[in-house]
Amino acid sequence: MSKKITFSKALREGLHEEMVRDENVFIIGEDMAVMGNVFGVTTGFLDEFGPNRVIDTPISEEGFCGMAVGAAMRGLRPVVELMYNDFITVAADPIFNQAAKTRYMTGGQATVPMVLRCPMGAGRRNAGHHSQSLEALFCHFPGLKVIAPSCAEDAKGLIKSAIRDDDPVVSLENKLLYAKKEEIPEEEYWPTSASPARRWAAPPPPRRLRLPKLLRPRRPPLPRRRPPCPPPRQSPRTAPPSSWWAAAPAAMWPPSGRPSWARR
Amino acid sequence: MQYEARFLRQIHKDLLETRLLEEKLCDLYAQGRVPGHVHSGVGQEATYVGVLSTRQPGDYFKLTHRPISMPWMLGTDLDMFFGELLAKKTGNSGGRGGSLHIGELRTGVLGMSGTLGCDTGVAVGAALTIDYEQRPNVSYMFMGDGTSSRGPVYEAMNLAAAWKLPVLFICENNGFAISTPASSTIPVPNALADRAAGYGMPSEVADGTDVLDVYRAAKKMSDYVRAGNGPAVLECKDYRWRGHFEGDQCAYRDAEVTKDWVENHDCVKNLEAMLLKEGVVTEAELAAMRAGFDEQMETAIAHAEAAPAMTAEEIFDGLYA
Repeated sequence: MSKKITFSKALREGLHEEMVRDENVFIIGEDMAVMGNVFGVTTGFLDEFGPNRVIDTPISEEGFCGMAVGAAMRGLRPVVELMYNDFITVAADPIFNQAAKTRYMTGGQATVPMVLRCPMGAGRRNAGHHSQSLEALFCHFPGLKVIAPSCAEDAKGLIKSAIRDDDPVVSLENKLLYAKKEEIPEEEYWPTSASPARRWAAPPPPRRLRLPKLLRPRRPPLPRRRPPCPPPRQSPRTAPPSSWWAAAPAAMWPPSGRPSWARR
Repeated sequence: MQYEARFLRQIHKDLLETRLLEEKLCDLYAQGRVPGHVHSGVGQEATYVGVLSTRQPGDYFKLTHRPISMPWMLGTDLDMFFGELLAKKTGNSGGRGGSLHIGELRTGVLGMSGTLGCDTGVAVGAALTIDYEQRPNVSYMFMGDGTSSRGPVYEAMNLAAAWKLPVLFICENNGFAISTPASSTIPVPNALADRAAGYGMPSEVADGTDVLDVYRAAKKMSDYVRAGNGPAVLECKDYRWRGHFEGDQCAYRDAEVTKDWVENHDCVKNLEAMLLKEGVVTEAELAAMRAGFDEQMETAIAHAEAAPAMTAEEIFDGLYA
């Protein structure tokens, strides 16, 4: 069975399911609790989960992004929102130097299982400091997994797998998509080879597909009006490709294991 | 006597071993045996040893680049310590971190940031985890007077104060940000302690060359934090004996002043004089301690130098995205 909901509601469902499942998941950012987020993504969360798990911050992007890194290193799973991806310029160090490099620079002693959600993109006449598309900036830094859901089904599936991933994931959400209504499955689902993100991209390396293919009933592919994305560039290394539209699903599932040289 | 002999012997052991490690690092660097660079903390051990003597199991630590020997006191063994310093696979990060990034997560050390002050939020985040799990622990955030001029420090202090998180902010004020004196860049006499009131935090200022005075102040502040009252600030005043990095000739400051600090404010020498006077240790015991630890260090250095280094093929191991 499928249902038709907006991109932001689908995102909300994904966050909600993960917060119910795991009490270590919490939300932190500007206007996330009382207001329920400027795009309505966390409406009602404060009442349901309380102020310890849905945290309104002061305007201190560098401060709370750093806090998310520290909390993630010590066992919690923060989902942070930068109200606009443009604000990464004032919170660059915690993400690019702390979150991205901690697992590598500690020899695998620590992982940083955090998600950074970033509404992004132009078209709402928000002017130059609230409209940029900075995916290339995020993709430059080794150690960040970057996803960019482009339909409601991916919004829910990818945010769920991003939260369960043991490494920092940056989710770039185009603001014009939030109000768009689309079909998503009724029941819980995961990004698989049948997910839209995968169908549009080139097939991932088969060794990464460890889930049974039929997690949900097969149904004909949804009609898509958008042109297909270009095929991903193949990296010569065995690491996942770094092009943002293709890397995400491949890197997201199954959750990556610890590297062989990690001590714990 | 205010303290038990056992406590005094332990704090002296930690102080002396930190001193000997710092001196050894200078020697190794001078002999060209250390890749990268070394920021020596000789003469500044008391601040760290005094504060860390208040630690409890389960606490977290954000250390700085000086002195870099503190992970030894916190439980990283010497083979691993020198392995990381010499960029060998036996180091805590397999040689990927190097001299600035020694320290095991297992011991509560949360790593160090090469970008000063930017990881203050990380210490506050670790305190959020402590708060979430309702543990009686403290997240110790160390910084220097130079770092106290960074914006993220104050974002993090504001967040910690607003949510009453268990963080002890420690400023080791040695008077210099590389070559720039604090007096020309910081408008208050105490770089961090004088600013604590703006966040509603209590603060203490201690003599950073007297390990027992540091311990007294740190105990008071850490007990306050540990009891769940929120964050606090401790500032310790000392002096940077050597250059910012080994090789820095310190042409920017008065050598006479440095000489005075080295001769009259030596935390190890002063503590040992007091302990000898009180009869807590003897000259023979002190000599035996120095010789014994020197042998331990030499053994660990030999192990580290014989250990394999990371090869070019392995450089991408552990890179996941």
